[in-house]
Amino acid sequence: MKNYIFYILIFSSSIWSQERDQEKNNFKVIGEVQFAATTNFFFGTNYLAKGHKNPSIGGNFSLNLFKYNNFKLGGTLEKSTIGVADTSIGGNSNKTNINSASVNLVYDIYLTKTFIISPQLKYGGVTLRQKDGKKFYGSQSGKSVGIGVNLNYKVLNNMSVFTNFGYNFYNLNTNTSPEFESYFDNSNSLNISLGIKL
Amino acid sequence: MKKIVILLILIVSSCGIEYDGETKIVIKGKVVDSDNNPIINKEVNLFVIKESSGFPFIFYSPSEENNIGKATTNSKGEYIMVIPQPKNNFTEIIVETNSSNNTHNPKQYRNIKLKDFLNYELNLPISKLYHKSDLSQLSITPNNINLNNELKNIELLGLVANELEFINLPENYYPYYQINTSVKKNQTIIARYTVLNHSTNITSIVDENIVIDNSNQTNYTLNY
Repeated sequence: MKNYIFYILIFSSSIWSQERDQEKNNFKVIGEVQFAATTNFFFGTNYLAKGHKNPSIGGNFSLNLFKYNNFKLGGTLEKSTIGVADTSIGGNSNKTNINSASVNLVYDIYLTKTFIISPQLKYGGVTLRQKDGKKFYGSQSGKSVGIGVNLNYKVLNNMSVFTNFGYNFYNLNTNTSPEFESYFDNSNSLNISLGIKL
Repeated sequence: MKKIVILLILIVSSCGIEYDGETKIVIKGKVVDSDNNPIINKEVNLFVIKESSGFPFIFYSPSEENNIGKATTNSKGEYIMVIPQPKNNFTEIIVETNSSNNTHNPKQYRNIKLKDFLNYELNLPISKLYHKSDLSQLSITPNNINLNNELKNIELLGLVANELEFINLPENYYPYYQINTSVKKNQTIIARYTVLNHSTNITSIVDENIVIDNSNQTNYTLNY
């Protein structure tokens, strides 16, 4: 994980140097990095909402790579953990780890020089992994889509603090009896994140 | 010898059971008392085990490490457990009721296999628990009086606690598993046993009545 972050920082700083050369065009290669602490509140009649102790707690890392006018395209990696409340439906585990990776499309609206609102769309994959001591209950993968908005406040020339509010829908691969199919194959969450953007 | 034991422990501990997190199997059941009244708030545990040692299956003791499902009976005595499906490196699924209660007998459904699930779901038979003070420990001693005869099976008909019930008979099933069991006091049990005579190659099914009185222990010798 440390190596990952190191390479991403090196990569993003090299992209920054290219940025200046391409400023004449509307299309730019940028290297905007975000780190955030995040929490998800799952809701609805599904395993993550009813079978767990909401909310989840975790962190995410985003890298916006391309910019066209006010649009930005990038990706996010997120990892969070949520406690299990119901051991009967789902398995006798004490927590579920939620890992996701998504592609993001962001649009920046400059309200002032320092305050930017950035609506965004996300699409990607999610994996639920349950482990309890030596017991590993396998993983469950699926797709996720999300919408959200970043409220950014520029504190330095190259640094902003931001908060993000979003809604996410998850569709998970599930094989089970018809009675429990909808309980395990989808979920919804509202998320709040707080972080810095470099 | 020590090295062999350590090696065996390492092999056993390093081979965990794998699960398919995308496939969820459902186990449903019901727990009642001897009068068929539902028993509520009774903990039911599910274990997934693999044959990881040379010990006979019957001596397996479920542990927390294998405790994959945990449920409590509702107001109707019913329970539902949903667990990720174990992959092929397991031997059996066990559902255990009342393991630590001192007033009623425990009950285990053993040797449950994935083939028993229909559309990812298995409905177990009703678990009937008896008050321990109502039970007599029946001990049957098989006595081979005809050397040509082989005892193939014993089935007990009556109010039997059936603390150990096989959903599938194990490959190494031994009929004597049935000869030490708890039965309700003050009744007559029918012991239905199957005998194969090797000289005639004829299999016979024989019924014998066993009178259970009010005592805590009943001993019976079965001559075959």
